[in-house]
Amino acid sequence: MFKIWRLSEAGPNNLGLACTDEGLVLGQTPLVERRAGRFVAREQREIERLLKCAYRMEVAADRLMSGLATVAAALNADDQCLARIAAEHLKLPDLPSQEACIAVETEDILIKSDRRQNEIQKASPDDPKHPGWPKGTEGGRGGKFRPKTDAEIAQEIKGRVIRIAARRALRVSALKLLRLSAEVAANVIPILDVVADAALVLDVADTVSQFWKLSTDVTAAFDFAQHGPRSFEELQVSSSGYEEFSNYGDFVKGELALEAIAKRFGSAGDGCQYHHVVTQGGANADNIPPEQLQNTNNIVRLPTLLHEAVSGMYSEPSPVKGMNMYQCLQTQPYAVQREEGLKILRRLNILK
Amino acid sequence: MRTEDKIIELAAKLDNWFDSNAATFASENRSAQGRAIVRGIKLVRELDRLKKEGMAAIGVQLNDTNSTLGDAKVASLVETFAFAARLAVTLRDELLDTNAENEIWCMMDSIALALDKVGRGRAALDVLLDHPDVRVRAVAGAYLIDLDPERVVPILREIDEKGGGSVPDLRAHWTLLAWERERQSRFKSLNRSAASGLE
Repeated sequence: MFKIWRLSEAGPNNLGLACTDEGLVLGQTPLVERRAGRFVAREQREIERLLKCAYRMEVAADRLMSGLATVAAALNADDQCLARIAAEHLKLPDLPSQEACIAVETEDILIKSDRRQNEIQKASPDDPKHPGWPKGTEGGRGGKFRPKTDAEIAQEIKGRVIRIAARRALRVSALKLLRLSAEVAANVIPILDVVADAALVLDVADTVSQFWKLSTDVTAAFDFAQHGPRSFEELQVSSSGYEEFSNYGDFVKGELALEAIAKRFGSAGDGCQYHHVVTQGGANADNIPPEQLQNTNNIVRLPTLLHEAVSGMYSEPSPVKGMNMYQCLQTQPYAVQREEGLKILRRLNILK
Repeated sequence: MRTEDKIIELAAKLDNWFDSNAATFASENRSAQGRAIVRGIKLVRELDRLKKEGMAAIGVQLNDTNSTLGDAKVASLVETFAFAARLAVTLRDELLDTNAENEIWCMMDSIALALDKVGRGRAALDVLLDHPDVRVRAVAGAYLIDLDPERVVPILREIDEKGGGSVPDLRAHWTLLAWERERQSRFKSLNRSAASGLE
């Protein structure tokens, strides 16, 4: 009994080996890929990780490595014929299903993420994350790694904390969108695993536009994080002194008060929102004079994702059953609420 | 691997998924976008499954707390409390899942109330104040601060002062704030709720 090995045509539904402009792919995932303008075979341990996901069994890739190198060399020489013959001689079966194809793609994402981590570890002395001694430093230390200063370490930690906060908020948004997509998909095909082409069943365009908006929010939060914590003055919406905005009507309808701010200062900007240090809704709307809430000492501008991270802090369960911290803090005097509001901003390293 | 560690790992995969698909979402390739979304949905489903499994495991332990609690059951409840604390904090810290966190806090309330009816009462939880996991120490402190403030306050203060923007240090801070300002604690409020028929 003969088994005939042949290449597949590249495309969104491909499950087999195929030669493409970007290299040799199995399903959608490259085994030979283009790096810095040249084709190279991926490392053996990466190939083994991918094939394990593909066929759900341990695969020793040593028998494949010379064949993959031949494919890479042939592609570099623009010898498509040799590349295809060498690829067929790899004798790799097609992926068993679209699910396996997705599993391999997911594993590929993780491998590339690991790669990025390793590249960071090997950064040059010029890398601000891995600083070096300047050229000519005594003791022959020039160009070698130097220990970070306390200030550099503090800055790094603070930036990291902000990024973590933003990440958490991002995950929530991504999960919401994905759950929405899952509902849409479930309404069309009850078993997601048998979806042959997700594009046919999902309202992709709408979901993608929301993800795109989320990317803007991420950029705003990460830009903020790059410069570390701000002074309160830097977070304020006005640098021209104290201003109050509301009358009693604005106070009762908090959103109107916010509109008034928007009229005076404009929107908070792409990827940003206004944040009240002492919260404006709930019991505070009844118990605190509006002028104490709707003023430039209480309203600051934050990246949307950081604002969500801050709001998340208030939704923690409180020591009083049935109340979250947002409600619990509102039982405290204004000064305590303000102090705690500022502490949250400091805890997340948003505020110096 | 423990459930909460699996959740942390999946949350990191969700980050990777978002980062690595940014270019796809910016493109016009609907097919690739659809596939990316399907991959993301699989991650979400896995997260949901882990959460459900974890909460079910706590629920099983709570089911037979009406019968007389022997030493073995008390030990098992203390262990379940530690797991619940880790799970609640992880879901909140990694995913801002406050609904699940609140649900698990209600389960921990039930464990504390069940323990309080036998033997040393909820003091059985005090072994958790020395737990190596800060998530467990912070939550155990919230349930014990009124019972043994001399021991609990310094533990929570240390967690609070370390900071870092995570849930355990916030939890420690707010437990201390409520205690120091109003001698308020989670367990005291549980008893009040039970007395007024809210339980």
